[in-house]
Amino acid sequence: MGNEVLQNHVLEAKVFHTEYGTGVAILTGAHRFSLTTNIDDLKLRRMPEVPGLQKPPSCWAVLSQDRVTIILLAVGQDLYLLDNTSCSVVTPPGMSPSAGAYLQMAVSFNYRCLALFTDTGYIWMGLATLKEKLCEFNSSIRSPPKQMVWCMRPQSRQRAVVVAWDRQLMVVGNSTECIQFVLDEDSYLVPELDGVRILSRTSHEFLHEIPEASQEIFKIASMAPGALLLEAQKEYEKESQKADEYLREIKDQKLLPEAVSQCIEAAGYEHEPDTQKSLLRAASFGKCFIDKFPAESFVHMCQDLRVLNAIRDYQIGIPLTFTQYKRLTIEVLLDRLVLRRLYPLAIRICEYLRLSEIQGVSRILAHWACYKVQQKDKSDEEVAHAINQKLGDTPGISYSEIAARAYDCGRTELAIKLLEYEPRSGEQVPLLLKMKRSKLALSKAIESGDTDLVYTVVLLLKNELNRGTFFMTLQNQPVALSLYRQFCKHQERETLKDLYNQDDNHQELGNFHVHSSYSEKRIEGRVGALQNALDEYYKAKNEFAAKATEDQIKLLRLQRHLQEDFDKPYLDLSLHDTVSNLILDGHHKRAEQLYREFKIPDKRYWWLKISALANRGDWEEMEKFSKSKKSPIGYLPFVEISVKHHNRYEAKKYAPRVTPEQRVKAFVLVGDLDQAADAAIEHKNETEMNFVLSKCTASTDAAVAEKLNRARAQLLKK
Amino acid sequence: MAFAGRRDVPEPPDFGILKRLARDQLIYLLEQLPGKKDLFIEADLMSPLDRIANVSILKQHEVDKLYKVESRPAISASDQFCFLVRPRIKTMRYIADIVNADKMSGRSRKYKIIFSPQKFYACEMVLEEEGVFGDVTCDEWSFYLLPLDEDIISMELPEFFRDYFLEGDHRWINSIARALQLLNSLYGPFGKAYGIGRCAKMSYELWRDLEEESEADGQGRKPEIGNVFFMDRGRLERGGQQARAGQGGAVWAGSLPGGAGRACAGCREQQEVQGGWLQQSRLGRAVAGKEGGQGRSVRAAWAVALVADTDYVTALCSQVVYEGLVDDTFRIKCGSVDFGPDVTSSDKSIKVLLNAQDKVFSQIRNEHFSSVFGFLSQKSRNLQAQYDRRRGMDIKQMKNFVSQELKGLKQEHRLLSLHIGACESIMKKKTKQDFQEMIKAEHSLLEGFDIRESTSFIEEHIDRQVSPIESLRLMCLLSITENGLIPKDYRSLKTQYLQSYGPEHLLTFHNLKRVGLLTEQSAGETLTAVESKVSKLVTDRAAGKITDAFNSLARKSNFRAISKKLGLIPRVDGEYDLKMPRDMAYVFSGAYIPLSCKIIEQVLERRGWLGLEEVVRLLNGNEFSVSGSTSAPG
Repeated sequence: MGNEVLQNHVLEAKVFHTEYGTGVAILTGAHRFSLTTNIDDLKLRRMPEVPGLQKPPSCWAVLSQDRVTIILLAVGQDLYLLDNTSCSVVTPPGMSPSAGAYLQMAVSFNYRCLALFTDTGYIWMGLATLKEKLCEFNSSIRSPPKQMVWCMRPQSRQRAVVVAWDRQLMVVGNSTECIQFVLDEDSYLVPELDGVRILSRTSHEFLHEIPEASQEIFKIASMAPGALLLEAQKEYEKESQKADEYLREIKDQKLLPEAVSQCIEAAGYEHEPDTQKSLLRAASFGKCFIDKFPAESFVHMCQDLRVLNAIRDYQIGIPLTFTQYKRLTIEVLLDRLVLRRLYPLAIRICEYLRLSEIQGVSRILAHWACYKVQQKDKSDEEVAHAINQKLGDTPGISYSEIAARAYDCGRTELAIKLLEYEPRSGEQVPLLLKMKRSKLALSKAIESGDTDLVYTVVLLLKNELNRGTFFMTLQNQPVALSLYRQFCKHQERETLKDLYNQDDNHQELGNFHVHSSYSEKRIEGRVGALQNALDEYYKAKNEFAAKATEDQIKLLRLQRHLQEDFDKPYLDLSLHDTVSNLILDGHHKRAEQLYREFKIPDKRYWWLKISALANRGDWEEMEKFSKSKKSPIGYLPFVEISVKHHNRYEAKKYAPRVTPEQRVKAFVLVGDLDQAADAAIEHKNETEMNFVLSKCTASTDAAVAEKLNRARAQLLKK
Repeated sequence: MAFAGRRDVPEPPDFGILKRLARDQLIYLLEQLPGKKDLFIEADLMSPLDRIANVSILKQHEVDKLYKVESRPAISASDQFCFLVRPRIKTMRYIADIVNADKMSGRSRKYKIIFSPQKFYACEMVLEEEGVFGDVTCDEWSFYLLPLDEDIISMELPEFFRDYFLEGDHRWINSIARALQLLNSLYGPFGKAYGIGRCAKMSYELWRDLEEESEADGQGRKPEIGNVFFMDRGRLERGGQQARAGQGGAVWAGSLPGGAGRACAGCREQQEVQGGWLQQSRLGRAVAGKEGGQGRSVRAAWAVALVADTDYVTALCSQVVYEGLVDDTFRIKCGSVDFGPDVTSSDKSIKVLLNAQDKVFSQIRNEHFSSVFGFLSQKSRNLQAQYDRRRGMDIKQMKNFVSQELKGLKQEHRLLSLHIGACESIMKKKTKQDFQEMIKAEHSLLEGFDIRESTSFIEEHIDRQVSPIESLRLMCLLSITENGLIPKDYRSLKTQYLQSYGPEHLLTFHNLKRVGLLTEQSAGETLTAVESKVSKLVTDRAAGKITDAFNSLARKSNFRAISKKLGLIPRVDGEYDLKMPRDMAYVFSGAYIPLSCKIIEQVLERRGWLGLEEVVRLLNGNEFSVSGSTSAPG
């Protein structure tokens, strides 16, 4: 808590509770205050100095108002308020001027009330805001009290302060009278939510304001409905007709439901099971005479009392009041039982209250198991077996958590054994990693199907193992390997190469180099990368890829020359496009050279050349080409391509050279229906005739149509 | 195919909830960063986001400017950056670069990263390695399922196929399981779950684990979803250069115990949908329709099918139903399509939502293209007739007409002209490309006739540089139907392809080989040899567990054997009647019944895998069938 504490020591410390959690305020030897509002999130705040403070204050307290924590301290007859920034003197309203010096102060459990005790025996009681006085009392005892605490109950207007001297206890409130008790032993007071616990060496007492319901019932000669009902039930047990009289009296006032509620409520405040029982019996008796009295309140009270009585047993020793129990909630109570390792009781409570397994039984079993693993006198097998026997497949049990605890206790082997019981493989991974069982972790991660988890392990392994072992480990886990490859492809390309090298995957290495060649800017770099690829492809015995890569290198070099010679972009074109561009630009010789060098099939070359020539509009060259030798693709493409470029004149030149089977189509394409008809008639082919006929228009091609019709008729006759 | 009038088809569950949930969560996340902020959106999240929250909603929650991830922001003055991204390492580097650049220039801003659908550890690690982990806050937008239509939901996971089937990366299984958990929590426990394929099984098991851990009390709820069907199925993405085949495990509905049910869900993939899913989901309806027609008693329950690498063929065939062609031509993204100026016959393009709400579309979406024109012209005649009724109306009738019918008619008129425009566009494109010849080649491949001829067709296709994707598609189809290419063809086609479309496709071929889409027949390995290898894997479970996923990737297709067993290639005498189809094959002009649909039909009919053992074996096993604890007696 800082240097100051180290140097000056702590004189006094007070624990307090705020919205933020549990706080601690300390007074150091230098008479300075420091505090933190939440011990779980420790931020120490040093309060301002109190002017002229030479010795420790006679008394001080922590107040919490509107989320601000302040310190109230008394020095002699002066009261000071210390907040974050300043220190101011305050005077409580209605303080008698002759009260004297302050000796003791007390803040109530809920931080709303404040009590001050002075050396004249005067007690001031008011709000903690110091804005209002509630009452005052003169005890006429001048000796300083040992302790002073508030005793109050939530929702009650009655407030009282309990002051303790060595052998005397005084309860004072808004009254001129006070109640006095004699203390047999040295005692200590603990203020609580609804009363004050008085602890001594041999006894444990609880002082509290009697709740309204109990008062009504047990007050002497009380005529409250609850009291009457209790009486009626007692008479009923004695088989006396008075039972009926009492009951009638309540019913006449129509107060029976209130009577039952009163009895149920009062039962909660009782500590003696016998009294609880008689009150509950009365309530149950009264219920019989009411139509549809909701049973929940009765049932819950019975359950709560059963739990309370169980924990109040001296062997357990948690004497909670009903109000405190309700405020704490069952979950907190269970936590406390678990902390005290009262596992069987906690489990029985869960079962009795029918709490869900995850919230109740499994949670407690898990805690038990975590404790169990710390028992060093038992062998790993024994412990693991015992845990599994008890826990089985209970839902909500996390074996990995128990294993983690076992590992924390240094029992790695036990942890691994326990992990075997964990059904979710994903849960096993983090601990396995922590225990440096990386390879096992990797296979568990893969089993889980969670790729994120696999990545986590892989990258951890990467740093943990040397490269060789790391790669070897991956080789045995294809799923992990492909994930890591994916990662490397985008993030660490060089590693990818190493991976392929590791398992002599020459095919992939070749692909890798081809891929890299595309990111090389300079042509030399590209050729270099491709050369590497070529070597790898040969090693992989992939002759096709090797040949293709060789061709690519050749093409690249050629393209560079072309680019230099003609000052036009040739790089990155396919072979087809390269040759095509050469023809387009009229470099027929160079095109011819490539055709031979790359052994371009004749068919392709012809297709390529005529379409390039047609694009260029070089009909003369095309005609020359068509006569160079017999076309491997026939002459119909010549017709088609000429027509496509709207040059019927040229197209007509080639139509007669088309093979007889396609001639009709060729003539139709060039628009010479007459010749088409002749060809069709010559073939004696009806479909062809019909095809030509369908192209004839009545106005212009009447003669052709007639010719065709005649021929067709003749054909059909035969 | 109108369903509304059919009493045996139960109403779909309200998938709108999914949208509302996603929107509310997104708004909540945006509000977590109070004040004005710039939003950076990952490109492939844009379309899905558009379906969830439009720009005005984003503006309402103080989003100032919108940027696309990967385009550096024009000098932004905003103090807060919010990134809505996929959990990708590349994107993390992009964000880290922005943050680091700001640090260098001494700017301080707030950065928030929202991952969709979930955060991966690898992302956080990259942020850490780049030294920006402490500067950003991370959140998850659990947007797992997007309803595309009344009866289809999709996960929109573009990289699933590549990650799982090519790279063997299991990251997304978790997302699928979480999506199932979401469905389960919203619509009650599933009545019955069937599945086949390793990925399907893993997804199912992980989902069960998740359910057990969360101990949700879904018990006792009335199941709104009857059957769940899991299937691994692969799909080639046509736009892909390197077998970027993307497939998010499409989900769709089969039918329920009683018999009826409609396609309802699709963890569909990518921006460039091949469109196979469309056909299949419709097919689901076709299946359902058939069963419903048999007049069995029906329970009000829904069926979901999660279809995730079984059926490549379906994805590789050309589409011939209207919706498929629209997708081929214009690309349907998240259920909406942009019709360009040539369709709208004006100078701007129009965004159209294609779903059951579109009255014209819903009637033609599943029709064979050949009958669409006829339908549209009939429809326009009807429309004209309805307009014409105005003549001869008195004032009161006219008032009635204007107030009640005119708006609907106008709307219908607008849609009709759009779809006619779209049809014309499709016709123009398809006739240009020798579509007929391509279909012919596909059909011979499916039937296994004239393989030589088809191979030369493909070769010519490549030589003429018709289209890189189409060429690749045909090659894959050849490989799958023929159980790999013969070595000579394998080499020559690849060489031709590289010459035509560039040497970089060397890597494409490697990837295609790995996923088993384009392979070489190995000399000694006959079909039976492969089969015995596969069945050995299945029996040896321990070994199977490790190597299964990888072997299934390199698996050879048993296309012929399966299609014979299940009768996937209909034998028809004469012309296949496309107007009144007898079976699901109509979606491929009667040439092929999609395998995934056939399996679902069979399993639902048999209520399990009994009797399908041979098929299961050919499909590499991993089948399961689980009854829900709450399924009522059917």
